[in-house]
Amino acid sequence: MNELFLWRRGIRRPRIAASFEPEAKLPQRLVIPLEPADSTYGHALRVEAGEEILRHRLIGLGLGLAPSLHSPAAGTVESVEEKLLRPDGTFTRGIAIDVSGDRALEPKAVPLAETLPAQQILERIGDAGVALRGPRAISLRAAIEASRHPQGFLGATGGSVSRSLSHIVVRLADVDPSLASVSAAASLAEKKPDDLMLGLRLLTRATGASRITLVLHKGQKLPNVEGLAEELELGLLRVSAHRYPELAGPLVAAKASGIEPPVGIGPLYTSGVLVTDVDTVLEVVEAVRDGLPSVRPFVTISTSMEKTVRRVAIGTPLRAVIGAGARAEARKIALGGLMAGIAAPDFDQPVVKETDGVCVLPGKDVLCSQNLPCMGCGACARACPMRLVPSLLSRAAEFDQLDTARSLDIFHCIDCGVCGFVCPAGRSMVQLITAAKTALVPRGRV
Amino acid sequence: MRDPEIVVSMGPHAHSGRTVPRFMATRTLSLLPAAGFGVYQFGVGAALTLGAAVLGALVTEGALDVVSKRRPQALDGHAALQGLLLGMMLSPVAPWWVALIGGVAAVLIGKAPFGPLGGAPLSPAIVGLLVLAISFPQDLRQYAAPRTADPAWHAQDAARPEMPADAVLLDPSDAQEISTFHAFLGDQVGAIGAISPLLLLLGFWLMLWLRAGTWQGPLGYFLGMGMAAHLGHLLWPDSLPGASFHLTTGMSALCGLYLMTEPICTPVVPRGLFAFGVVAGALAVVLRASALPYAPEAWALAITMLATPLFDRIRPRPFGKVASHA
Repeated sequence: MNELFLWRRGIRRPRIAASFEPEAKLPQRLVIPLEPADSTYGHALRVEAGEEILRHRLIGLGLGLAPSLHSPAAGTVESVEEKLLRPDGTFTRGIAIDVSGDRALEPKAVPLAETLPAQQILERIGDAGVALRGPRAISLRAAIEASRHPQGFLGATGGSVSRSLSHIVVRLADVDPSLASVSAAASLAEKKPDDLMLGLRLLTRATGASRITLVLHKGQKLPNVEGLAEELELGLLRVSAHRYPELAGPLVAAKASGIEPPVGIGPLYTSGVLVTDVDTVLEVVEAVRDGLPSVRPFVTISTSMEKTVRRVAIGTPLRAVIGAGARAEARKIALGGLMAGIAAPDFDQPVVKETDGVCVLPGKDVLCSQNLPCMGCGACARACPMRLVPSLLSRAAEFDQLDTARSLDIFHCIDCGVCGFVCPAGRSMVQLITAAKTALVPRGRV
Repeated sequence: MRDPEIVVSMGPHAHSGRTVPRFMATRTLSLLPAAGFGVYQFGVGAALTLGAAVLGALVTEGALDVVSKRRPQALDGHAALQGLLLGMMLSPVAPWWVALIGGVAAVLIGKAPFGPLGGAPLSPAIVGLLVLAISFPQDLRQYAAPRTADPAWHAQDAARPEMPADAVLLDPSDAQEISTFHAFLGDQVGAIGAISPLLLLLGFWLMLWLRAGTWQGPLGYFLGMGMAAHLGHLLWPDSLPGASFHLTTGMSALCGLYLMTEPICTPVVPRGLFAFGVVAGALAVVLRASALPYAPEAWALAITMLATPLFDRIRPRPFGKVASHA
């Protein structure tokens, strides 16, 4: 009886059309951020300052859930202690690489990749650093292995519901319609459906999943992909093109499998469904068959002057990604889409594996939150895809009523930003809710 | 070239463009057809009453802005809207100073003590109306015949100056005299803005289309009212009129379509709003059968609004919530 009053949750957002340029030019200098060496999520340094390295050399070994990092270019390691400002205001260290030359490490290609046993596939995926994109990049290998071992993961809410993966959902469109990275990868898959088929086969073998569903939006025309889905008897799901966040992980998993996965207890892949994008599937093929590491995510560059998708090398600073004209008029840069992206604090921010978009907003498009008190109009409650009441949550957060926030199921919030979008009082909904979540976690009151 | 200064804030980095002034302006706009019809039917006096109520509310809000040095709120449209709603619920021959006092009371008692927009537990328009109903009951209960009324109505009104609702409750056989269809169109005697359910409905659709209101509340209200009225008529057919009467009075339409969709004092979640509407509608029918001197529907809404936090507890099960997990 949860949809007793049937109305469309989420909001309408126009989907952008972007051109696809396969490779972006490498900048003179790359700075790749490294997490401190930590067994749950961190990197172990594998290079030294002054070392000459080849393209695709391992520079940071991923520990725990972190994906391994490789150099996208040949050159010299200038420093391993470069101080980098993160978008959240904290500092981390990064590896600075002076780019020179073009020699690459010999990749260990495997022509008959589909004959590899599951363990070897997983190893090659892990060695290449293929990651699931999200607020933090999660190593695909670690995610698959975590889904088998309940003690391998401890969620924000302290518990873990762990089921082994039985269903793989592959999105061929972006969650945020202001990006086109996944659509661009889908057009690549359309040109090479055999690669997509190989990727799906490798993932199925690595996870042991028995079902695959491909998700497209209603405006997408991908005849080869659809033909492949028919031939292999895969599920094919079509969602609305202009609705956000129709393609968000839990929502699309629910539509594909017919069951709502538990939210707020652990990550989605521990509930039996792996939701990933087609660009990750193509990276799996590059990793397992071609032995190439994952160093060039698909990034949508959206400015007032261009809307392009490029495969940008990790470590590329934003100033090299955004054209000079767009840089001059930039007032805000959202890393990610306009809805759930993080604002970049400066132009030196590097592209990382999590980056799926760089949206440059000129002054006139940057809005000031008025942050008036909540009117109780209910627009947010009608729009929230998780069926929460953001109005009450934001009020509880504003007045430090953390117990109320917890009882209102605050950890089910997926930070989609729809509530903030519709609020007539101009409240910073996501900020308030995130502040409450952050306050609740360390106290153990989850 | 020096880098430009960039802004860092949390998402979302786009907004729908909805603002409070736009919200209030849409609601005010949707009231204008019915208000205009009221002025047409009852003449300049009605316009004066409406204007006085709006003025009273606006001036009080403005004065409070200045005196308390807070962020100016007079221009966000809420005070003016409440003044207009109040004026529309008053009798067409009520003196202008009564409307003025009502507007002042609405803001001073119904809105100001509760802080900025969003704090008031009751609709300021209702608070103003109730203050007037208690303070000046005689001034409010005088009625005039509308311009287009049947000459027979004119004759009747001279003898019975009460609202048609009261008249019918004194003698239910009168209910048959009132054609439901004509009453719906606007052939009623009542408060200034509460004579044409049709125009109120048209305005309500405009409000829905421009996303300044919800339909769940009104649906609940009319369902609750209809069921209670029907039940009452079945049990006591000689003393209570049926559902078709209750549903076509102008005050039902005004309360059910406009006061029910007030954002601040009504529940946030649609299903809670629906339940709220059912209770308010049923209570309105009950109170209409009681000896309340004026505006029983407003009293019913006021009582139900006090229970809004309770109705806020009626919420859907969140996505992915598993009952067995704490």
